[in-house]
Amino acid sequence: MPPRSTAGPALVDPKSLMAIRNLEFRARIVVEGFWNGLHRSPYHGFSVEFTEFRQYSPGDDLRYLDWRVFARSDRFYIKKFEDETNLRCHLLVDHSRSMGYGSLAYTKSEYANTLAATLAYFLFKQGDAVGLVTFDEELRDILPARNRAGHLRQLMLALERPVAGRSTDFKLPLTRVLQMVRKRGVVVLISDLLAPLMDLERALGELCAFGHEPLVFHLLDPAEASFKFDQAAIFEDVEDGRKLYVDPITVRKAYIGKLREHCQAAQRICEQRGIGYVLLTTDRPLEFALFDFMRKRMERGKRRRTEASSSRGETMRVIE
Amino acid sequence: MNFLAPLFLVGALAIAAPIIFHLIRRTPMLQRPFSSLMFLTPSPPRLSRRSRLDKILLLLLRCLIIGLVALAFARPFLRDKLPVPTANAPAKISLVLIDSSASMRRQNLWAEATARAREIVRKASPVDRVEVALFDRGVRKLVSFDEWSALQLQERAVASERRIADAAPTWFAGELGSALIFAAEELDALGQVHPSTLRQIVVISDLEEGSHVQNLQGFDWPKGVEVIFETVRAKSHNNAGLHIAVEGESVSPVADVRPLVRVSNASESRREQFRLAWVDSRSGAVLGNAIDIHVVAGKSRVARAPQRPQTNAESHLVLTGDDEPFDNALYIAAPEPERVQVAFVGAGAENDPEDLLYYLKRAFQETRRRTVSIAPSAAVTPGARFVIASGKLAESQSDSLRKHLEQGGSALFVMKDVASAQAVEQLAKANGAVSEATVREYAMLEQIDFAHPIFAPFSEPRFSDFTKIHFWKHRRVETNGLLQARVIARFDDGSPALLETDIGKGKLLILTTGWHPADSQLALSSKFVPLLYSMLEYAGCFKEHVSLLVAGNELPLRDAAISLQRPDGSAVQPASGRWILDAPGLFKASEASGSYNLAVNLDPAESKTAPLDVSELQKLGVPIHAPAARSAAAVEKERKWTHAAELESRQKLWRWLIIAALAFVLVEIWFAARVSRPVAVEA
Repeated sequence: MPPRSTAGPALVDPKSLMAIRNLEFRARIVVEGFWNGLHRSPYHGFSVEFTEFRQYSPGDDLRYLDWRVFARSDRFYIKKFEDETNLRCHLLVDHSRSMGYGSLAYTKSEYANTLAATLAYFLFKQGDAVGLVTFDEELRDILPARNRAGHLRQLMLALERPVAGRSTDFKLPLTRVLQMVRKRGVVVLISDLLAPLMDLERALGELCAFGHEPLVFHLLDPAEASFKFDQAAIFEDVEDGRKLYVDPITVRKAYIGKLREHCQAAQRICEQRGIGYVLLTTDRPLEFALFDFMRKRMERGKRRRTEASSSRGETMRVIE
Repeated sequence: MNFLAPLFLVGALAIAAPIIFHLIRRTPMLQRPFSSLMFLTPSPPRLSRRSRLDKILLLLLRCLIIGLVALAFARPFLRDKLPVPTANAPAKISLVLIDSSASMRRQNLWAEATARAREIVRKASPVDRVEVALFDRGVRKLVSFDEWSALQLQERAVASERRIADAAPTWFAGELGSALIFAAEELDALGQVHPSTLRQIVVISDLEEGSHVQNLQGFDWPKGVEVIFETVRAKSHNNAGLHIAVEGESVSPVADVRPLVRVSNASESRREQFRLAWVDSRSGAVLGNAIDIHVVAGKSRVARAPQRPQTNAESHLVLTGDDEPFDNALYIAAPEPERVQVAFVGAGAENDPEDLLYYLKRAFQETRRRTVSIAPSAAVTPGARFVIASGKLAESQSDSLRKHLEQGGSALFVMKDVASAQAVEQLAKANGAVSEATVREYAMLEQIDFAHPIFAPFSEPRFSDFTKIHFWKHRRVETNGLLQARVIARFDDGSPALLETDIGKGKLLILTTGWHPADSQLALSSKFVPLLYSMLEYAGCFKEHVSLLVAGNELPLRDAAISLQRPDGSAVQPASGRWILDAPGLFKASEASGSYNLAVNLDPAESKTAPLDVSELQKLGVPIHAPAARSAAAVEKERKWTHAAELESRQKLWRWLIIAALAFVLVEIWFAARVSRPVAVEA
C-alpha cells in the first residue's frame, strides 16, 4: 500500500486525467506530478545502474577500449555502454474487447493505456529502454525495447489503437516475448485477466525461468468489482457476444464470490513465483500504480523469499 | 357521422404499434454489455401482476390517443339540413368568333367551323347570352347580344344557325389578335352590367401561324373573361403560297415580263416540288412554258417567274403541286405609264434660259411610271390637271384659270414681278399690297412649314436645308389683303415666299418669286424638281401607288368619277369614301382619261398554314380555358364534396378530437411516469 499522505494533494483525479485526449500528455502529467512528490518519498535512489569506465584487464574486447581516455591519461579503459547496463522493460497491454468495458467516463483499456504510457514515459525519462506488446487472442503491436528519440511517440501511437480482439490469450504474447527478448528485463503485464488462469500460470512460470522479472497489473472496473446494478437485463459478453438474462440482485453474491476467487487465484499464482501483483480498479489515481510499480520492483528480492500475507487483505478490500 | 377524408382512418391502424411495443416490453427490454459473463449465472425473469395491469391501462391510453388523432385527421362532421344549392348550370355570356380568313377556304375547314358554331348556338341555355361574329381583317357580327336577347327563345338557335350557314369565308387575312381584343372589350363592357356571370370567348379557327397575334402583347385582359379555342384542323398541311418578291419601283425592267416571285412552303408540308406557270385568267389555259421550283418545307424561295406570254388576254401566275389552291394565284398588273398634263398660262419662252418656262420644260423628265407634259397655252385646257401661271394674265386667261380653280383644280401662280400681282388680285378677288422687296445681297427661305404636304417630303433633317438657295429678288405681299391665305414658307425678312389660298373648291399656290436666274437660284437647286413634283402630288395629279395590293387593302376614293370593277366584272361600292379590295385578282379602275388595272393578291401571312401553338397565345397573356372533359357525375360529386367541406368547416369537430387527444397525452405522460418510477433496490 503506498503512503497516501505523501501523495495527497499531488494526486490527479483519473476522471479529469482521462479527459485529456493526448496519451503522452496524460503520462507526462502523472510522471511529473510523481517527480515533484519524489523528494519526500521514501523510495529515493531507485534507478538503473550508471554508465561507467572500467580499467582494461587482459581478455577484454579491444573494441570497447576508449582511445580518447587513453590519449589523455595514457591508461587503458573499457567503455561500458549505456545500453548494456540499462533496464529493459516490456509492457504487455491487453487489448481484448473486455478491456473496452467501462462504467466510468473511460474504459479499462483507456486506463490501461494511460498506465502503460505513464510507465513508459517514466522509464524513458530515466533513460531506460521500453518495449511494447499489445495483444488479444493474438499479438497486435510489437515494439522492441529501445531508448531512442521518437520511440516513445511510436509507443503512444500503438497504445492508442482501439481494442478489437474477441478474447484474451496470455500464452501467445508471453511466449513471444520470451522468444524476442533474450536479455533479461522487466515484463509488465497490464490486463483484466478475464481468461482462464492456467495459461497465465504457465506463461509466467516460463518468464521467471528465463530470468525475467514479471509484474502484473490486474485492472477491474468499479462496476465489475462491486456489481451494483439494480435492473434485470440481458447481459451481453462484449468479447464473444453471448447473452444471458441476469437479475443482478439475485446473482450479485455469487458473482462477487466467484470474482474474489479468481483474483485470489491470480494473486496466488504470482506470489508463488515471487511476481509482483497489483490489483487496481480504474477509479484509482495513476500515481498509486506508479508507486506500486516501484515498490514491487524494490521489494522483489524480499518477496521472492517471504510470503506477503498483507497484500491478500488488500485484494479483498478492492473487490468489496 | 360522416368523414371528409375517410382515408385518414387508415391511420388508426397505427394502434397496432403500441400493442406490438407493449408485447415486446414483456420480455426484458434492457440490454447491458458486460466485460465477461465468466462469473454470472442465468436467473429467471420476474413478472409482477400489478405492473402488467398498469401497462394495460397505458396501452389503452396510447391506443386511444392514436385513434383520436386518426379520427381528427379524417375530419368528421354531422350531416344536417344545410340547403343544397341547385344544380343548374350558371348563366354564361359567350362570344363566338368564327375565323373567316382566306385560309379557312382550305378543304372542309369552313364547314367544320360553322358546324361547331351552330352546335354552340343550339346548346345555349335560355339564360345564356350569345353573340356570333366573323373575324378576318375586322370583326363582323352575325348575331349580336342585343339581337339574341330580342329574339324569341325558340327562334334564337334557328335564326343564328341560318345566319351562320349564310356566311362565307373571305379572302382577307385573319387578324386574330385584334378580334380577341375587340371581343374582350365587348365582354368587359358587359361584365360591368353582369359582373358575376361567366364570360367566355369561343374562337373557332384553324389557328394558323399567319394569324396576327402580336398586338395581344401588352393587352390588359379584363378579369373574368376566358378564351376557349375550338381549333379546326386541315387533314393535310401540304400548302405552298405564291407571292410577289419585290415591291415598288425598284423592280428592274425585266420585272414586267419575268417578275421575281417568292414561293413559301408551309413548315409541315410534305411536298417540295412545285410548278409555276402563266395562266389565262379567263379560260384557265396554261400559257407559255412552266418552270419547276424546289422548296424545302418551312422555307421560302425567291425565283424569277417564266416569261410573260405576249397576249392581249389577262393572265396571272399559278403555282401547282400543293393541296391548297387558295393561295396559288399571283396577279401582276401590267404597268401603264401615267400621262399628266400641266398647262402653262402666261408669257414664256421655251428656249430662253432666262425664262421660267425654259426650266419648267426641262424639270419633268419622262419616267416609266408617268410622263408630265408642259403645254404652254393661251387658256387653261380642260384636260389639264395642274396649271402654272406667270406674269400678267389676259382677261380670258384669268377667267379660265379661275374657272379651273373653282371646279376643284389646282394652280401655281408665279409672281415674277410686281405687275403680275394684279392677276392674283383678280383671281383671289381681294386687294393685297404687293411691292418689290429690297434685298441685301440675297434672301433665303425660312419658317418653312414642313408639316404641309408640299414640304413634308423635305422634313427629314438631311433634306430640310433650304439655305443654299439664294433669292436675289422677291415681292412683298401683305397677307391680310388675301383672304384665307396660308403662308407655307417665308423669306428671312418675314415676307411670305409661298402662299396657299382656296378659290372655290380649288387651291391656288402663290410663289412670290421666280426660279429664273434673274430672281433666284431655285431652278438650279436640287430641290427644284422634287418641289414641283410635290406640288403636283399635293394637287392630286398622280394616281395611287398601285404596285402591291393585298386583299383587304383600302383605297381612298380620289375622284367620284372613277369606278372600280372587281375581277368578275361587278362594281366595287365605296364605303365611307374608300374602296375595299375584297378578292384577289385584277381590278379595273375606269376614269375619264382611260382605265388601268390594279393587281390584288392574297396576304402572304395567310399562306403560313402551319398550326399555331396555343401556348404561344398563353405566353401573350390570353386567359385560355382548359376544356375539362368532366362528366355530370363528377360535377355532382364535386358539388357534394364542397357541401360536405362546408359542413365540416362549420362544425370543426376535429378540434375537439385533437384537444381530447392532447389531454390523453398529458394523462399518459403522468401515468407512464408513475408506473416507471424506479423501485428502490434492496441491498
